[in-house]
Amino acid sequence: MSLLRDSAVDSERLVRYLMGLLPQEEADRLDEQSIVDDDVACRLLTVENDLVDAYVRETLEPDLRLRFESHYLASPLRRRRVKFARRFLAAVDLQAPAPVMRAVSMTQPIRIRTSLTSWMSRQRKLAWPVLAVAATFLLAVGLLVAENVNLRTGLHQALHDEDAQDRRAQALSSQLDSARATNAHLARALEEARASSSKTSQAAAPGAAQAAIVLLPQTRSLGPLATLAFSSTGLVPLDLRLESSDFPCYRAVLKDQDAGRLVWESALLAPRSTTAAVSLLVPAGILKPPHRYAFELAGVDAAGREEVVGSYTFQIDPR
Amino acid sequence: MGLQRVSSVYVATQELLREEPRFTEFAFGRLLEWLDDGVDSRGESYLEIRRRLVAYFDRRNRPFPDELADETLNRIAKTLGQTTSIAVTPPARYCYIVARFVLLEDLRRRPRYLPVEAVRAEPCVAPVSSADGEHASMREQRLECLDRCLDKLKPEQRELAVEYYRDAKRTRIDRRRELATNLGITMNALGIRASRIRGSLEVCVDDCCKGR
Repeated sequence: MSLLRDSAVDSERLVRYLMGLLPQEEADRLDEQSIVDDDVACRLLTVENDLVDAYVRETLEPDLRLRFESHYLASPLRRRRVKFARRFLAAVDLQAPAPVMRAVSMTQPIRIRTSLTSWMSRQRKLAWPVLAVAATFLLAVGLLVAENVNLRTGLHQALHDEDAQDRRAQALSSQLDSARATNAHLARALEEARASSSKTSQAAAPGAAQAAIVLLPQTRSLGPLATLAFSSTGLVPLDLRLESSDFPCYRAVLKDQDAGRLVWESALLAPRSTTAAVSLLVPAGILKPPHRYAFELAGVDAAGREEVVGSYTFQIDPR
Repeated sequence: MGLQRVSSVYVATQELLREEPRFTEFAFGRLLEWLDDGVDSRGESYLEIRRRLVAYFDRRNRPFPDELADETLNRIAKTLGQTTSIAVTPPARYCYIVARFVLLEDLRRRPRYLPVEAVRAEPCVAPVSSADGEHASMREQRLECLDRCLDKLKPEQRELAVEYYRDAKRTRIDRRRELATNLGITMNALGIRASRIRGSLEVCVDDCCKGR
């Protein structure tokens, strides 16, 4: 029997699954159900279509939109689905009343308009009484002409919107790749610098301060919140200490707890060989005093599954 | 070895398939029959399970999910050719078991992430760097295909798609509820109908683009 029922909670769970936000065990179960259980497979497809539509119609919550762009749009197949959704919804909205039609992105007018206009006219032919008087017909034609003028204007605007959206998606994708590459490069450089610094300090200045700020995982006991102070520009080197190094890779996301949104996501991080920790370089510009932040660190196994392994909370020194 | 035991189930592995990667029409027929599980679906079961497998591999961030789905089904066809029956039921469960093996092998073979540039060219999708003329022509082609595919739908299918997918948020939910009531079906059943129409349009547009 399917574990899923028609409720908002289940839809939410499926959205989290599609966004890669579910714990590993639950995601594994849904992986299996998405193939074996007809009900789940269908519900998942419905939820995915609605999710993509919400992105296209720009009705996703900011956090979810960010996650959608960083996770869902990472796959070429899924990017293609989004492209299809844009065209499909544009075609669908051509049938909707004007206010809705103008609210969404639409694609190029000419071709869609041709078929849909003929479709509309066919439907109208069927719907109208056979004995409709010529005057009514002329009135209908007049209305259609007026509607076409409106459609043309709306569609040109929509075409422009779609181009802008495409460019934005591509730019985001490039930025993401470039950020990942830079991050990996900087992490390597930092690791090398640390290694050489460690050798130097062992030889010349034992006890010298480390370059990175070390954060410890949050425990159940209440303690003072770590307060970080650093220069407001450049990159902030951080070490997240691990309780145990069980995964070949890790990924960290940074949440602004005061604003209640995700502000940064790391590339895949390899744990350090010397100590149980992962190193990060976070752009200082995104850390705003006196906000409180939390890193959520997830272990990534060989199969690419993610499991949250720790949380690191801190606040920025207001001074 | 070629065959690997998974809790009383034998699964064809990569080594076995490498020797004879293509299966015959007969084997394909057996695969369709096995997937139908006693009810002739005219290939629908095959298409649906393939769609689910592609989605599964894609959600696991594999760069070529279509190939992995086909490899999974090839292996099952091969196993069907070598054994009298497969004990695991329903067939979809066995497909999932084999798919997991295919996934693990692919994870060993290829890195998890590929740079965007390394991803294979998508049919009918213009690259960012393409000239404006080429971009416009591809978009024109896609729209022409959507146009044709929309024309192929039955009027009641088009009407359902329009009513189901128009608007957003609360309005959309209310409209769907009303639609389900009018049709005398549940919201779930309505969702399935609408998804099928949309899916068939998506496949139709893809095929149309590839055929040009």
